[in-house]
Amino acid sequence: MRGALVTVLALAAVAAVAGSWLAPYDPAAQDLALGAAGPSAAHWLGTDDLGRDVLSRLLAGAGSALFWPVLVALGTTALSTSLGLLAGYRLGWVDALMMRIIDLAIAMPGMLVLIVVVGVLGGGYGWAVLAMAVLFTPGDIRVIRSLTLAQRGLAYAEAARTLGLRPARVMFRHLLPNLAPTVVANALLSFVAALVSLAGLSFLGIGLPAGTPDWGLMVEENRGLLDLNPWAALAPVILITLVATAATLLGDRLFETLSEGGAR
Amino acid sequence: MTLLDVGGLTVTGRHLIVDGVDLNVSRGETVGLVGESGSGKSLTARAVAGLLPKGLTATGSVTLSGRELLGARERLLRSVRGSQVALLMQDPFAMLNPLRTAGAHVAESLPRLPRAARRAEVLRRLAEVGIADPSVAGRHPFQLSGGMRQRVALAAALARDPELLIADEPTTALDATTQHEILMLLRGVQRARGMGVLLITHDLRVAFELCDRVSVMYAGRIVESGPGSGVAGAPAHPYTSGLLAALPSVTVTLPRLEAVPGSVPHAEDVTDVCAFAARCGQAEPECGQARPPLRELSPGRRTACLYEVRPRPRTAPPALAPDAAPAGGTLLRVEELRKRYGGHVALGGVSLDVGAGESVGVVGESGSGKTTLARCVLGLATPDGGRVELAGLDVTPGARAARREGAHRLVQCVFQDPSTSLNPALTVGATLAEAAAQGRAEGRPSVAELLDLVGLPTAYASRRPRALSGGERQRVAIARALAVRPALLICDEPTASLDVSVQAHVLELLRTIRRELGTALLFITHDLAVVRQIADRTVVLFRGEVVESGETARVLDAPAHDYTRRLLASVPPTP
Repeated sequence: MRGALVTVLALAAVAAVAGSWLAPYDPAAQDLALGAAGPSAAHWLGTDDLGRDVLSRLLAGAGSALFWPVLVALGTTALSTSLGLLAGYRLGWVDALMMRIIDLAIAMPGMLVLIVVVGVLGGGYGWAVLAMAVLFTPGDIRVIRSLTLAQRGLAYAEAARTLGLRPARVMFRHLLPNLAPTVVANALLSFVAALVSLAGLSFLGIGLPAGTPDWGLMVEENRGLLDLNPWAALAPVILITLVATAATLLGDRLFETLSEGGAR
Repeated sequence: MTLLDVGGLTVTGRHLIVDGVDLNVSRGETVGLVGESGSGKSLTARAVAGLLPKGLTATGSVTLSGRELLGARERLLRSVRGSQVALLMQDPFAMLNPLRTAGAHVAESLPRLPRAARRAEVLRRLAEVGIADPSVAGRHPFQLSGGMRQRVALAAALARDPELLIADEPTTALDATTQHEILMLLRGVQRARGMGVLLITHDLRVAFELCDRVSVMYAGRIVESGPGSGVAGAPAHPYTSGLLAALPSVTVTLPRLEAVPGSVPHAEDVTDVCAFAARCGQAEPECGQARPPLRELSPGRRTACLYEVRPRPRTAPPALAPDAAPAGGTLLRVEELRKRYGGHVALGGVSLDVGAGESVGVVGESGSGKTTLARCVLGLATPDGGRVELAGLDVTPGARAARREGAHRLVQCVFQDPSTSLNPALTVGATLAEAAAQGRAEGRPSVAELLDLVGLPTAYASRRPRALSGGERQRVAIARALAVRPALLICDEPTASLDVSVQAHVLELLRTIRRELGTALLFITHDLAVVRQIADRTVVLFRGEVVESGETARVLDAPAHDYTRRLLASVPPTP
C-alpha cells in the first residue's frame, strides 16, 4: 500500500520537474483540424477544442499544479511549527497574544479571502500562495501548541530545563522531534488543501491567465467537451484526486509509523 | 468447594505471553497472583473474565462453578460477568464514567427494584463499602477522592453479588493510608460475603497480608504457590526468595539492598528451560535442559525449582549506622516556602535544610506538596512566597534578585516516571553528552564514564530509550543528572514506578553515588521503607506543612505526630 502511494507521488513529482520535456507535443501548439478529438495512437488522451494535445498539457501543467502547493505546505509548516512551539513553550503573554490573533484569523472565511486577495491583486499564484499560508497557519499553530503543552510537562522536558538548556534548544532539539509525526502529517494535509484550493481558484478563473497549461484551468476550459472528448476535463480531475488522496493516505501512514518508532 | 478452576491457560498474541497457568479459587478464599511487570498476571486475569484485548487468544480451560468460559459465546460471558465474576481495576478514575454519579454506577448493576427501594438499596450498598454519607451517591467521580472512587467502584462491582471478585492491582494508584483502608475493606467484604477473591498485585507485602494462598508468576508461568505465610516464611523458588530479599524494610536500614540481576525474559524464549535460570544464583546445568515441573513439596505447596532454595543470608547485623555524617555546612536552605494552586494550598510555609553530602527524605502522600517543593527548588515552579537558597546563593524562582544561571550546576533532579524521563527521540549517548556539556569544562565526564557510574555497558550509548527497561531508563536519568556534578540531587519518587527487584538496584546505586561522590540527596517518596534505606534525616509533609522532622530512625521508630503514626500503621508488614 505504501509502495503504491509513494509511486503515485513520485510519478507526480517527476511530471512536475520534467513534464515539459516528457510532453510528446508542444502544449501550446494548436491543430484546429483536430479539435476535440478522442483518444488515438497519436494523442493518447485526445485533444482539446483548439486541437492541443491533452497529455502534453497535463504534463506541462504538473509543474504549476504541484509546485505551489508544495510551497504552501513548506511555508505553513515552518511558520506554524515555530510559532506553535513558541506559544506552547513560553506561555504567558506571548501565548495569549498569539492565540487571540489566531482566533481572529480563524474567524475569516478562507476561500472568500483568497478570491478577494487574488482578484484585487491579480497576477499569478504568488499572492494566492501567500494568502493561503496565512489562512492555513492558525489552525496548525493551535495543534502544535497543544502538543507542545502536553510534551513540556513530561519529565524529559523538565529535565532539559533543569539542565539549564537555552529555550530554543529545548524547543527544537527536545520537543520538536517528538512532535514530528504530527508535523509531517500536517504538512501533507496542507499540501492537499493547497492543491485542491488552487485548482479551485483556477477553475473559477482566478490566478493564472487563460491558456496556461494548468490542471484546474483545464477542467474549466474543457468542461464543455464532455461529450466530444471527456478525457480533456476528466484527466486533470482524476490526477488532482489521485495525488490528493495519495498524499492524505501517506500522511496517515507516516503519522502511525513515526509515532510507533519515535515517541512512546 | 472450587469456584474458579484455571487449567493450562495459555495466552498468545504476537508472542507467547502466558504459558500454562494452573490456578484455582474456592468460595470464601482469597488467592493472590503476584508478579512483576511483564509476568502476564494481568492478562491471566483478563483471560479469566473473557476480556482479553483484541489480537490475543487464550487456550486451556477456565471453568467457573463447573461451566467452561474459555471459547464460550459472548452471550454466556455477559450473563456470567457481573453476576458471577466481577472485576475491580487499578485506576478508579478510568473505571467510573465521569458523567454519571456514584449512585448511578451502583444502581446500574442492581437487580430490578422499585424506585424507592432502589435508592435505599444503593445507599445500603455504599454503606457496605464504608461510605456512610448518603450525599456521596449524588456526586460525580471527579468530586471524590481516589479512595472514595475505589470504594464506589467496589460497590458497583459487588452490586450483583458475584461469587468471584477479580481485583487487578486495586490499590496501586492509592496513597499508603488509603491503600491500607481499601485492603482491609476488601478483606472485610470478602469474609462477610464468603466470596472468592483473585487478587492480582505486584506487591508481595500486600499479597501476604491479604491472601490465604499465593501464586508467584514469572515470565508467563507460575513458579511457586502455597499458603501466604508459607511462601513468605520459606520461599521455595529462588525468584521469590530474591524478591523478598529486595524488599526494603521499614524497621531496619539494610547495609545492602539485594537486587535480582538481569531482567525478565520473554515467555516464548524460555518455554523449554527454567525461566529464571539466567538470573539465578544457584542455577545448575539441568536448569537449562528441561522445563522444571511445578512439583509438590507438601499438600498445597508447589515450586518450579529442581533444588532446595539456599536461604539467603539475611544480613545479621541489621542496624546499620547511617552513612558518615555530613561534614560541610548547609547546602540547601528553604525558608517559609508558600505556593497555592487556585484554592489548593500546595505549600503552606515549608522550611527545611539539607547539609552538604547529607541525605534528607521528604515523605508525604499525594497532595502533600512534596513535588511542588522539588519543583520550586529546581526553578520549574515559582513560589508565592519564601526563599530558596543554594550554597549561599538566593535562587528563589521569580524573585527579582534571583540569579539562577549557575543553579543547574548545583541541583539536578531524577523524575518519577521512567517512561517519560528520557527524550524518546534522542539516543542515550546524545542525552548524556548534552547534559555533560552543561557542566563546567574541567573534569567534564565522558558518556562512557557516566554509563559506567550507573553500571550500564558503554554500548548503551547508541540505544534509544524505548530499547531500555524501566530500571535502565532511571539509571540513565541518574547519569544525566550527575553529568553536571551537582552538589544536590533531588529524587522525586524515582523508584515508585519500578518493580521491587529493580527498585533495590536503583536505591543501592543512589546510596553508592552519595558515598563515593558526596552528592547530597533530597529524596521525595511516599514509601517509608524506601526512606528508611536512604535518608539520614526525614521530613514528613502533610497538606503542605512540615508536621515532623528529625533523624530517620527516630521519626520511624518513635513518631511524634499522629499523621506519621498513621502512615507507619498502614505499611504492610515486611515478611
